[in-house]
Amino acid sequence: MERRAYKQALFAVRDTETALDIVQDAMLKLAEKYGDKPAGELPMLFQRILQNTIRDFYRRQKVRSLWTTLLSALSPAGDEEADPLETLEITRETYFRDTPHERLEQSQLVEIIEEEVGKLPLRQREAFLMRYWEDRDIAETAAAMGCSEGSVKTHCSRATHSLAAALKARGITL
Amino acid sequence: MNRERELAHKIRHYLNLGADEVDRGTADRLFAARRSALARQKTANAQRTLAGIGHIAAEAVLPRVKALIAIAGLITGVVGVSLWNDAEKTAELEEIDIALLADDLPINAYLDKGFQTWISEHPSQD
Repeated sequence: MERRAYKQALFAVRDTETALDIVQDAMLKLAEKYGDKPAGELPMLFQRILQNTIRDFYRRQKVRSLWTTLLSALSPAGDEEADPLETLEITRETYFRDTPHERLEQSQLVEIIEEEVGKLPLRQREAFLMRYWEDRDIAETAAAMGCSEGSVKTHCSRATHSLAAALKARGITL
Repeated sequence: MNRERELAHKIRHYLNLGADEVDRGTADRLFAARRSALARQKTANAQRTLAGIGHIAAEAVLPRVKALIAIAGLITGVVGVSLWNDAEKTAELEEIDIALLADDLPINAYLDKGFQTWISEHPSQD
């Protein structure tokens, strides 16, 4: 759990030390404030605290990358007719790599995907990661993000399309 | 929608691989942070048992007490202003009555037709 949280924080702040601090803060807040809650509620509460801690960091630093948001919002508009998801080839072979060369390729692919996830606008990334990485349903994601279920769907859809387009642009087919 | 989900799950697979590949030093620090948080959780629970009732009572009652004090202050202010106005009006009327009784009214008062009508309707009891 803490490794995924660390990665989420790292995507957001792009600094290992700050990401570690954020995860540590979030875990402490969870333990101190919600330690008496039922175990089933804790992962969801942790997600909410983690997202809030990341947002607090943004507020403090005031370094929200506006240009990333703008670029991301503009990129699908240029190629609206073509759905990048349709062009992606999903093959089973991509999952499993055996030779050192394939493992290196896989490691590079992980790096690229993480980089592209990191480039997503904050809200899109939050929604995408909670929904598809943390396996939260739409209602839970909306509650954690403090927005409507419709917004979650929109964020997730935009995030997935942006990722598909970015990977396609780098010649990657999953 | 299905393509979206399919791609998302593909990406999730690579994100999981990335999380598994976190370097040893970072993994150790994350584990230490987790242990530290768990230790803090025990402390928090212990404090709750010792200071429990007082703490809960303070948390629940204090915000309401503050609101009640604010409302009471507001009501006192409104009532105070109203009483002050009444007192001023009474004082003015008292002054007129005294002047009337002392036959000390200004000449303008007798030029007021309304006042003369009032005098004729209310003849002196003397």
